Order: sequence, then C-alpha cells, then structure tokens
Amino acid sequence: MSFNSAINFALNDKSTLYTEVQKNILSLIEEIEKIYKKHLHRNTGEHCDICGKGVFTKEIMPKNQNSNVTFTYLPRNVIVGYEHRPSDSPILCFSHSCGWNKVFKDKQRQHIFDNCIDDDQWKLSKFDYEEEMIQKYGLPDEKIDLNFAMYLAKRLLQLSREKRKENDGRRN
Amino acid sequence: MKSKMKKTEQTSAGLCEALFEEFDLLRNDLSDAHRASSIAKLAVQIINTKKLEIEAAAFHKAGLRFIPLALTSKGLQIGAES
Repeated sequence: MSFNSAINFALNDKSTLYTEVQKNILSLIEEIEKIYKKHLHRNTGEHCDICGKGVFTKEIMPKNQNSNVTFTYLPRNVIVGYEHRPSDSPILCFSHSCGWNKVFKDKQRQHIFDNCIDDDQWKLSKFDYEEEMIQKYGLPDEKIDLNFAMYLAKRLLQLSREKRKENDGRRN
Repeated sequence: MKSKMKKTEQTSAGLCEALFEEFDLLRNDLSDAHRASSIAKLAVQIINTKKLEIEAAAFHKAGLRFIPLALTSKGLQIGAES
C-alpha cells in the first residue's frame, strides 16, 4: 500500500466504518508533517553561502546607528524551490532567502502563465488551484538551477560593485 | 611549480558552485572586484545561452525546424550545410 492511498483512505468521507482508523492515520500524517516542517526550518548553525553571516552573527541595524536593536541571522536548511531535493539546497541567511523567495515566485508565476493551456487559464487567478497549477506547469529543476545561478551572478555583481566603491573610498 | 587548474563542472549546479567559490574568495580578500565582476558577467552570458538552448529545444520539440546558418569567409550563408 502506498502512502498516497493511505491518505486517500483517511480522507474518504464515505467509509464511515473505519472512523477510528481514519483518525489514527490523520494524526500520524499531521505528526509527519510537523516533523518535516521542523526539519525544513531547522537552524543549521552554519553560515550563509552568499554573505557568510552565521547564526551567532549580530549586527546593529544600519539605518539607525543609535539603536541597540540587534539582528540574529539564522541560515535555513532548505530554500524555496529545493524542498524536493534538500541535499542540493544551498544555505542562505534570512535576507538572502527572502530575496531568492521573491525571485523564485516571480519566475514560477511567469512560467505558469507562459505554459498554461487555454482550458486552464481561468484557474490562474484562483488561489484554490495554485497547488494544482504549480504541479502541472511549475518550473522544472533545470530552470530552477538556472534562475538560482542568475540570482547568484547578480548578487556577485552587486558585491563586486560594493567592494570597488570600498576600495575607491580607501584610496581617496 | 605548476598549480593544478580546477575545472568547473559543466552543469547549472557546477556554475553555482563556481560562483559560491568566488563569493568566498571575495569575502576573504583573495580575489578582487574586477575579477568577481567579470566572472559574474560571464555567468550571466552562460545562463542566457543555456536559457536560449532550452527554449530552442522546446520549439524544436513542438515541431519548429530551424534553418542552418554558417559563418564563412564570404559572410553568413543561410541554409548552408555545415
């Protein structure tokens, strides 16, 4: 028996004979989901692959220098788009994973919009069909990797510009 | 003494790895801004080429046939067999 058929059995309203069994299965599924979510959002204790900020790094808020408020960067285990292959996921800090999240969602939406057939177009604006549309027309792994590489290249370009400015400042 | 040259794995993941390596070098002041900037620009070109290849493959799969082009000493030849 596959995992999916167990879920289908548990969610079947018609089988009133097995309510106890169904409840047990549903509680087990909930438990599995909790463990999985906890794993996905587990703090790795490692450093961000882009900026190198780690779990114990504390920074003073740059906009308000007088403020004593501090940030703690918590690199996450798995980033968006890599949930189905966590071993390939890079480790990013909160700000970089937010940046990637935005890029990924935009690209995903664009890909769905470009590849969606006419019959499914009415589902584009419906939130209920979001999962279904992602399953059908979501970004393939290769495109996710390419988009992530593009995100990295842009961050590298930004970092190099910052370094150049820093160096120019030192010279002057 | 010849230093061993590290070859980049020719996949998207390999490209990401090369970029991460450059991030590390730049952060630790082992690389300079010009080098990082050129690597980033090169990566953008590679990614754009790859994206174009994927698009072309999709069109090809859908039945679109491309006219072969050849750049010869006489100029660009359309429909030429390479």
